[in-house]
Amino acid sequence: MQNDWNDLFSDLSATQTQALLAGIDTLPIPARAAKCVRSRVEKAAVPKAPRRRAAVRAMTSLAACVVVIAVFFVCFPKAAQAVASFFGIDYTPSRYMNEAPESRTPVPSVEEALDAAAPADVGYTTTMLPKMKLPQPYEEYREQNGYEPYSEEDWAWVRDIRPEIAEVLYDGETLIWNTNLCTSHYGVEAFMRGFGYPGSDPDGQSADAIIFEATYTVAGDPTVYTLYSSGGGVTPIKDDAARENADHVVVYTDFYATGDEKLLPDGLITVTQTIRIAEGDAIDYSAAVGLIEHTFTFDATAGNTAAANTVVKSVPLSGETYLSMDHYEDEDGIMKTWSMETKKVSLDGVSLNMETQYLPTGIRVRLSVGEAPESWTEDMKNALVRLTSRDSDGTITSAGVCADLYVDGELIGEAQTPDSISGYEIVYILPVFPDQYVNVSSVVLKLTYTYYETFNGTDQLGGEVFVFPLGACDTDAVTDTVPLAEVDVPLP
Amino acid sequence: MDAMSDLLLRDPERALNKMLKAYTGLVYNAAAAVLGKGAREEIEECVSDAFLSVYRRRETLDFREGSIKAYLCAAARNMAIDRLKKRGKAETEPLDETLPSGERTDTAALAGIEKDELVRRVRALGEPDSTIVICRFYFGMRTKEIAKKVGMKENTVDQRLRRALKKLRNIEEGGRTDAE
Repeated sequence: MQNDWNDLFSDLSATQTQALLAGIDTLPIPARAAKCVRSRVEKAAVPKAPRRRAAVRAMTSLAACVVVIAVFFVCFPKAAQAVASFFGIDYTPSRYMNEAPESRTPVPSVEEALDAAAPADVGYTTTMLPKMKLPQPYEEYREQNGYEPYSEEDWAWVRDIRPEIAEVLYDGETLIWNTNLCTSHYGVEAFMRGFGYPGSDPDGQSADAIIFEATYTVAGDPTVYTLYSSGGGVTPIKDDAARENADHVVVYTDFYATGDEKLLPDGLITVTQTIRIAEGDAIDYSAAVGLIEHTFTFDATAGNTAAANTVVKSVPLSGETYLSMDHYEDEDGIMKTWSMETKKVSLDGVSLNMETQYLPTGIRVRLSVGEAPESWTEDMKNALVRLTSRDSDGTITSAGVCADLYVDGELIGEAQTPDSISGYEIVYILPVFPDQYVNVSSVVLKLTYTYYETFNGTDQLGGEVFVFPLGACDTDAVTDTVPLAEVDVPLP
Repeated sequence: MDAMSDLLLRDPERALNKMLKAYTGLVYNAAAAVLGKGAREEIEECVSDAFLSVYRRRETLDFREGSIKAYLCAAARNMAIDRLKKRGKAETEPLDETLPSGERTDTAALAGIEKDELVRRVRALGEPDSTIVICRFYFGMRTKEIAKKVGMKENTVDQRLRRALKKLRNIEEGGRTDAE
């Protein structure tokens, strides 16, 4: 691949970089790339589910959690209350899998799906740093990246780590697995130091693990398929006693289907995952001290069967609404124009396609633009299915669709989106499970649309258009929220 | 320590949001300069990893030594270079190959200058020449893009770039430079 790299400034320190870049603060970026980067970073750094490095955050937000859970149990109707467990309205499959099996309140259908996957270990190999394939001798590599010299003796405990597949959750749309890394007490302490648990030696080694490559094969097919992880990492052990007695740490990872295709074929799936054990932070490739290649199997048939039951219906819209739409054009990846404007539009003749899946992990609702008059542009269609959500104070500060979930006529709370969605569609995962269907008479999503009244000083309702400058731009907007539609979610 | 660094330590999630808003374009270009603008997936991964690396190392990074912006760009660039090395040199074509021979000679001469001194010389060029050189050689931007950024005609940018390179070569250590 051709590139424009010149190594004139190839190995500058942060201090030198700061001196060089003084006064250069913004450069253009394709909007889609900016969104993609933001999505990746936010998912990994501050996900809705407490995936990594979440211990401190969890503790500081404990008071808020108590309030949410209390409100949830007050509001949730009897028929669905049993579903709630301690996840409250913030339930997602990933959050479920981030809780230790012995401490989470079980959801029967999810537990059945876990059993149906029937995971089994096949084998593993461990490669320590001196034998790893690196771009240059590892001593130089570590030095160049600012790490102390590697010591075989210091990291010997990594060689003794034994991986075992703990749980696999597959529902046709989402694949999540937890891998236990069985290790010594010293190893557990090393993995937990990154979460702020000093253990017996605050200055001891700090280790991390991440699954950075995963492939699978299917019986009878020689092809090796790649799985693209959405996120993951070591799960913190928050309880002091549990951490003290632990003989393993858990590495979580998840994968999501994109488009209409199911994630995996039916049958026995053989997965090979490469787990990077690293000093400090496993996101940094150059911090690796060992790689564990671990193979296991599980059965995907039950997950695909559950996802196959999809109900499709059309949701007609009507009336008028303001629509805030952004218009973006680039040329060879360089932003040409990017603007935001708000227009009053008629929704007559516009409908949403609604797909409902009845998964063991909850009811999954997917909304996309179905029919629209010819006069509707792609920008308008995209604007109509842009997701937004409430801030922690309950306000909505960016344009888009937000949904409130009602079960049996009672407000449960804001509908939750799964951890991964793709493109221009609205997806919710509703905490209503198969064993509850018989006791629930209605599930309704009340959609609202939020538009900009003003946007960065422009009078959007007065027809002014805000043109984004090249590079970054803060957003200062006044919004208004109006009802968009009331959607009955069909029950099987 | 600047306000953003201070916020990162006090309120990491809010700071991360602001960092993403403020610096994604800059960091993206820093990685793209190394990997080539066509390698979108790889660039996005490097940029994401750079943000995550700085975010997660916030307690250990010394923000008196470098700002968040500097750490982000340095991290993204190093990660991109690592990837480039993994790809193999055969697949790459350095920018020098696309430069006029005069520019190639000048950049080759500059490559031998100690980095602190090189940075000092580039900054000493004054504006807009510093920005032009940085956009060209740090961010790998084409003349057309630089012209848009600095608000000049393309041929003016080329001229200033050539003269700036010559000046960088000819400056005696500790010597004075005159902006055009």
